[in-house]
Amino acid sequence: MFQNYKIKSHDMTEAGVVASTIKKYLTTKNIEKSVIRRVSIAVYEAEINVVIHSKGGEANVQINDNHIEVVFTDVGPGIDDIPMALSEGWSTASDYARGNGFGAGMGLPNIKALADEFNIMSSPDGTILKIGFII
Amino acid sequence: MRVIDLLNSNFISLTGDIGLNNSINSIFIGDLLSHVLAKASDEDILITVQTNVNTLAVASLINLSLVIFPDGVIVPKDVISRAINENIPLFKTNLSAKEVVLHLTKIGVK
Repeated sequence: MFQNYKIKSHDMTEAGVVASTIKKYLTTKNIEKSVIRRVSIAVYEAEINVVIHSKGGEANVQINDNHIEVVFTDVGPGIDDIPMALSEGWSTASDYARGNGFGAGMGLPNIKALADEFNIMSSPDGTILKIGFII
Repeated sequence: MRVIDLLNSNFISLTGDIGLNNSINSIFIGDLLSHVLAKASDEDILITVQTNVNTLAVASLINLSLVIFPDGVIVPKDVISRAINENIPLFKTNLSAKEVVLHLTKIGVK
């Protein structure tokens, strides 16, 4: 299965639709619950990062029999310090993010801990986050 | 224990009969949603003052059995409508979070 999703900046109305869609799909395939949980949380956190931190982006989802890959890309402003962003509790969250319950500084650390594969690149032009899961 | 077993004069169900048959694992208190995602367990009750739609997304993703809003916080109508659509039971109470936990553990929630 391959699907592309547009993710709007600062728009919570559809935030989480990528994660919930993947979760529903994996549930129909009788994937182990613990794997579904890991995938759901990691994808949700990544999706929310695009919503609250970026100017907008998209998610490309590829699901094969044994593997899921989700690539999140956005159009900026990028992450200044990736090692810091990967440390728990460090956050650049705006008032908008905090007002929506986010900004704990746990997003990227959670994603990295949950994904089987994790790769991130960023510049002021945008961020590409690629995460993979063995299912 | 199921959500329906918790209904008493302390709690008002904002979502009617939705989810009353959900079974309960334990209790988690948290307002930072990434923390909830990382630490709450399947079928937990979430006690939170985070009354926005993202709480529902989190509840759905990690299969929380019930969300309880303490301290009489006001829950927006659009959040209630969405919870009904997504089959997530919401309770509200004037009890504090601490009082909710004490009450739940007293009636047998571990």
